[in-house]
Amino acid sequence: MRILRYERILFVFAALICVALASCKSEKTIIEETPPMTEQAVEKFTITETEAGKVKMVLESESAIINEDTQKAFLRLPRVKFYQDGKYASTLITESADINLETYDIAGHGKCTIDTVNNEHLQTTNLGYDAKKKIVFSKTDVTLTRDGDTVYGKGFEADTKLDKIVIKKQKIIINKNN
Amino acid sequence: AAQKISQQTVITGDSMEVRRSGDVTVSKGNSKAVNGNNVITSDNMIYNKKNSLLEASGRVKIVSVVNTKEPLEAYSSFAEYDINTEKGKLWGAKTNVKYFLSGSSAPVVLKAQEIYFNGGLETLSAFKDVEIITSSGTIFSDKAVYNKKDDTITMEKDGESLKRPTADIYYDGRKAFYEADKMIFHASSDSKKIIMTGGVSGKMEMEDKIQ
Repeated sequence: MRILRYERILFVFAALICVALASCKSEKTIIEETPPMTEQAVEKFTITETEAGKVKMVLESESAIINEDTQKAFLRLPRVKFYQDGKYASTLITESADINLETYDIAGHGKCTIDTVNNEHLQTTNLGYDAKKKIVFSKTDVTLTRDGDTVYGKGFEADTKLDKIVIKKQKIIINKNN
Repeated sequence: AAQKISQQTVITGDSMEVRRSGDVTVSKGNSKAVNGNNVITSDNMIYNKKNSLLEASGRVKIVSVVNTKEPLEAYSSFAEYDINTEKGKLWGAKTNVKYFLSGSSAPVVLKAQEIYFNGGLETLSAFKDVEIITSSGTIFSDKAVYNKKDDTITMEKDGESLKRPTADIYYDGRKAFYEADKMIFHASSDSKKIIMTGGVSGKMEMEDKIQ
């Protein structure tokens, strides 16, 4: 009777070991099955966005790391030229940025500047570009210089030619023309 | 000496919209413009760069502190102000200017439908339903010009208008009513004086209580 009990314990013990080995093996296979992330590094990266046959935006970047999965690219020192009705409107420069390769929305990081065809200069940080609405915006401190006047604020939204700008908590310094 | 016109105007507010079409800047909410000794506050402001004109609307208040002891405060619903020449106009409901004389408890109040002013509110020209309210009486006129340099307010007929300046005066138990072609009110910190000329007429009630 005692021998029977030992055999049963031995059998259960052996079964447990088999199960443990099997799960380890499957874990290993899971690791092997994850497909490698497909990233592609590109030097001198350029994108042109058109609308109704007219150029809307031309982006040039020193380098770009394109992520096929997320359809995004991380850009270093991008320079974006905006056009309105095919005419040059302004140039946006940021330290780095992420661009959505499907919508062309841009999220600028660090210091961002916009210089317009009308000699206006806007400086802010973490600027965004909404391609569908054709607007640029930020929630951080912003400085706009135009015709000798300076406007300071916190947060802004504007079309890409800075024709119509809304600046929050503004402070405008107007210099007299004597 | 002529007041030196400040070289900068600073406008602040809750939010601002800049429009290309007319070089127009619209400031919305708690708008404030500081220009030399003048501080203008209002609900909204529009600044037009082309003609340097600032248009204020909604609870407009202008404070001018050329002499800190005698500030001048102007109130109206609307105001226009040229930031280069510092000239402007006030109009709309409850347009009035308060002039605080040092040493005097109550201010001299100038009410009118329209008040034109120049830099530092040093000269005010008031038109239509003008009232000058002081602690010792009220003067009514169609036109009044206030000149801060000599602290005078001059009232006279406005052009072809037939309405002459009238004055309701009361002090030490005396009540008087006068009418004249021209009245000049001197308001300084230590004395108040009124000079009437041209067809002066009126009546006075004097009552001395017998002790």
